[in-house]
Amino acid sequence: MASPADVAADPNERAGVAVHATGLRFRYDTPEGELVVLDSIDFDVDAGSVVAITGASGSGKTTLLSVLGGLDRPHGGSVLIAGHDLAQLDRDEMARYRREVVGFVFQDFGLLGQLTALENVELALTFERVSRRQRRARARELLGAVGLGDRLGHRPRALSGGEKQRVAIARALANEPRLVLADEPTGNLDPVATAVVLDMLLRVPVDHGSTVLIVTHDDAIAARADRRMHLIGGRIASA
Amino acid sequence: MTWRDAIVLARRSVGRRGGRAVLTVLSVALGAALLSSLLIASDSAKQRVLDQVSEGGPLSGIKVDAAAPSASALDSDNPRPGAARRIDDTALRRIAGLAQVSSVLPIIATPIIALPPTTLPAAAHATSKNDRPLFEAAVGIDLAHVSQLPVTVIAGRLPQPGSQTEIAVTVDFLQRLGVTNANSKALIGTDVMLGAPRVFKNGNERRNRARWTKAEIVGVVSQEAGNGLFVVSLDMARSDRAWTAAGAPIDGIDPDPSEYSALFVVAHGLDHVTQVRAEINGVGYSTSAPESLITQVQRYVHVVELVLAGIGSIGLTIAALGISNAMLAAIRERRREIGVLKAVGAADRDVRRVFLVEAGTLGFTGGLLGAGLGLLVARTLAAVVNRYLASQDLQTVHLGVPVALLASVVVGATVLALAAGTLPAIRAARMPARQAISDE
Repeated sequence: MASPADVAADPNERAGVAVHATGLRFRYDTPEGELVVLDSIDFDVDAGSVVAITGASGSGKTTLLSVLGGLDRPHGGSVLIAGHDLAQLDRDEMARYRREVVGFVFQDFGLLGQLTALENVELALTFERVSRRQRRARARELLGAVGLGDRLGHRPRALSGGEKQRVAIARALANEPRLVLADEPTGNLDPVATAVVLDMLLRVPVDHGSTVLIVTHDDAIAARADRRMHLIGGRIASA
Repeated sequence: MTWRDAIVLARRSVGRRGGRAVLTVLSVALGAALLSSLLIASDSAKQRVLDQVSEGGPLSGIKVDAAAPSASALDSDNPRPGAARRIDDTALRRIAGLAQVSSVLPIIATPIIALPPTTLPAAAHATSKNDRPLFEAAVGIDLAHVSQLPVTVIAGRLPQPGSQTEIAVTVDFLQRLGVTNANSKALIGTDVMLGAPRVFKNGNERRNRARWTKAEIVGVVSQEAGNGLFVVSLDMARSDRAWTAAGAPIDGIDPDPSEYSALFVVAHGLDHVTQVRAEINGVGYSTSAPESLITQVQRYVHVVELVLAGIGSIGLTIAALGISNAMLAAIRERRREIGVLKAVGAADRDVRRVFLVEAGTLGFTGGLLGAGLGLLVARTLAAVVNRYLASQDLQTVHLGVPVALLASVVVGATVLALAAGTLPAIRAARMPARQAISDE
């Protein structure tokens, strides 16, 4: 988790900006040549806001989420998040960034089938060397908060889609992240579960102080966000 | 990530793919079983051969004769005694005080007249008739420390220390009676009349007499402690020898003024035998020891061990390749899982650790099972071999539980599995996070 000193050292955060991207560029090398996915985009995301990233398939929204989440390194420009310039981090620093600053929610939940709900949430703290007792207590608290206090020992296969995604949200919040990145979080859910999961994500800035970025195709979800960022061909068409 | 967390995660991952894990563990177990059974068999064979060479005594045993050493005595395993020289308690203490000497045991050989039982038990199936007295020798040894002497019990037991009525007979005695080793048990409990000879001289007249003892055969032995058909207690040999020595010299037998006929010295290990022999020669006594033979045998057996270990290691290596293959397949299947681990903050070393622990777990479990299986196989083989040896009237093989050897097989299997898992673990660790999470 980021220390208070990191926060104080980050002028963007002091100015209420969670993400500050300038000239952000990302490309894939393909047999046919270079494919530019993010084309020198500039944007800021206010701390504590919910931003919906929309766009057609191949517009670069998932890649943008990967870059902001430290899963990919930008090929140009800079991305400043919580005092980290993501373009400058090495592999270990990138892992530390993911461990301390980011929480992910995936469309397919990303839960490990061999672990229980409780252990899946604990997993996010395992790499921080938080004591077993502390992380267990934190995982119980978070699963209780998402209404799964009675499902602690259940494996993912014994949970419904909505319950799995609630476990994933609990896991994403375990490390008290600055940034929660959700990639089509309701893509595999029925309308009822979608409503529950969306409510939870929209409450995250209020309850946990995190900034939330949601990649979605669903205009209804985008409409409930504080801001919508629409990508077309690797550029921000509207924000 | 702590090792404990890595172990928990690895254990769960292994358990989730139970079928593959069982097959991988079985392949390691088979390799480890092959290696351990071969090593156990070769180790037992080595012990058997060395026991044969040393007649069941310590490998570092040295026989000291009641004679002065010859110049070339140290160049040979066999005794090359010079002139007769008394061995008394003073000499015994001097030799016992030498550096690298572990123990010194006295041996007293005394002439004896034996009257074998005229009627042997039918179960002995004797093929010779022995109704004539045998002019032989009895060998008195310290029966309380027989493990330090070149004596092996074939049937029955040894006489009680200090006994004047119990004796063990040698294999040579059985042959005189025409009794095979296999039937030697039948002689246990039968009596032999033993006479300590004495010559009474009155002027020119010589009269041969003997002091007779009715002795019970309590065991059959193979021994190299001294030349004689009977193994008796030191007290019995000393008493008979004193009785004989009190008379006139016996025709054909040189009077032996020595307190002890020989000594059996045990050095602190085979490596010190040459040094101890030289020091005993320095004290003034002739020595003999099968050190050269034992060293050569050990060398040859070691070569056999290496060959067998090589064959076993091939099996284990094939199993390790199986682990490597299974791990690589697992990584292909678990890209998404690796991606999730990285997304929640696992560093490369954390992912590497999880996969290495998985490989180590498979290797350790397989090694443990294989070591047990190897012991079982070796014991089964030993039972078959022993049945054959017994049918051929040969001494059987004893298999212990070679804990150190089995432990080294388990450790070896684990290390090999870790080595086999290293490449897959590195590959998993180096997998780009986004590539893993996108599962494309």
